[in-house]
Amino acid sequence: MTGSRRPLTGPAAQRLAFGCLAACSVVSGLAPARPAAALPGPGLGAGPVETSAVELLDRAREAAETQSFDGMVAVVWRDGRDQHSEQVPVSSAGGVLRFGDEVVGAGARRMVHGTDGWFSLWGHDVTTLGPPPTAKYRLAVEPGPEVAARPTDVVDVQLVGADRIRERLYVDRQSGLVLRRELLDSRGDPYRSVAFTAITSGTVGAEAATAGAPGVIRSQEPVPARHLKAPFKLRSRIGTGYRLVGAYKAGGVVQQFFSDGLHGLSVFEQRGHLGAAETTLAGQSGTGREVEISGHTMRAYSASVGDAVVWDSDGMVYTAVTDAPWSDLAGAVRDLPHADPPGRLRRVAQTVVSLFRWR
Amino acid sequence: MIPRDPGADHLDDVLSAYLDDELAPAARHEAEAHLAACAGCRAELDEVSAARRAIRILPVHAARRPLVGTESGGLPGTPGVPRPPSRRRAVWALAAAVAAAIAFLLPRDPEVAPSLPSLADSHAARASITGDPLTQLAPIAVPVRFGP
Repeated sequence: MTGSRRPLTGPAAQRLAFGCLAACSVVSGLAPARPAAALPGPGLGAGPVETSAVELLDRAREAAETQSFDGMVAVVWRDGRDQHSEQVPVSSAGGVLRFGDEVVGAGARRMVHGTDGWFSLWGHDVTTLGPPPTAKYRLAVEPGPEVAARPTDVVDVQLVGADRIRERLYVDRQSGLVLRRELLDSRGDPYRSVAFTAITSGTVGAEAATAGAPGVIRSQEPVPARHLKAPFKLRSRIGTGYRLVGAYKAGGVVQQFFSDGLHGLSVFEQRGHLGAAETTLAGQSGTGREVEISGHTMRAYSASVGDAVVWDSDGMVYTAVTDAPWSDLAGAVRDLPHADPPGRLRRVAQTVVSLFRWR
Repeated sequence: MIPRDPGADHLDDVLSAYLDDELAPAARHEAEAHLAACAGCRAELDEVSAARRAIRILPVHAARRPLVGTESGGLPGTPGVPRPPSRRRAVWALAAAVAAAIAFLLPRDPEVAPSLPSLADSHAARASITGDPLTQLAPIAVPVRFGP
């Protein structure tokens, strides 16, 4: 392994420190129920290093930002009875992670290629980390199968108190990269996965090695929102084990980002009501499906990035998106407002009442 | 109508008191003496008696609401006295019409069609900062399709 590691400075170093702190706390008191496997740490010299699943995942995140590699990744997801699969080339060099000609990650910057060039989705590091995954999950490490012809260790993820594995992460023993990540249904079959089908470590194409981060023509980066004015409201917790780790604003849309330590869940809020033309929600690609959550009918969508639910309530439109299993999303939605849309008579009544309301 | 002697003192208002048996004995004797002598007053007495009988045989209906004698004891048109029903109804109808007009004229919440691919990108970008960048970003590098 000849990974070129970029120096960690400022927030990045702080994040690593947080990670180490979390890992130490896990090792000291929150170790997985099963004994951790002895794994050679990437770049840590000879001799086995006792490690844990949390350390393994933390190291995988760092490896993705620092290791050099070329490869091909398959993204597979299920939407009802339909299964979709897409391949995307991926490379990393000089701290720049590149997915085809579409997406680039460089440090804390995230850029996406649009119709008129590159634009920035994210541009700053974060200091607030989510809760430790061991607060919600029981993580166990065991030797895994080969993925893309490379030996792995697999992290089995179970909810605390549950007897079913609902997620697996296959970590490259050599590079520390997550080579495969899959969410499992109740029968143990993967219904969404991201997996390397081929990878070459340490060498990248000349183009990728010298490309660097692309020039950005415009920014869509949200700005942090420490306080929100009504009708927006910050929520510290949501669903099962999700804690608020950041709130942001961009173009009239408020995003509250929650984490359970392993998955993210975003709740987007904007003033208004849903239009009748549901097809516009998903552009050209579909109308989703109706679901009922807490007795209210909403529209749900499944995609490569995860699941989404859209609904409106009391003059606000909510869109919840997550890479977590559907049950987590439904649990979070139950904690959010979901009143029936007011009818015309109710609107009139509300207006009359509001006319006589002092404040 | 029987003409009465304009120069004499007739009973006039005393007739009602006589019919109501409210006269003192001396006054009653005096009235009876006058009635015996005055045909005009006897005729008037008969008319008043007939009118009273006619009123007494009219059917009795309970008033829907008191026209006078409200809690404040005031008279119609004074504070505390309800206005006539028809006028109050008209006021309420007008208020309701104005409220309805305002409700329909007020700008409604804007119609929103969230761009799911864009929001999914934003979510993945944020999630990849604290999560695994490889598995978080790869899905948004493929065409984001929601639904079949």
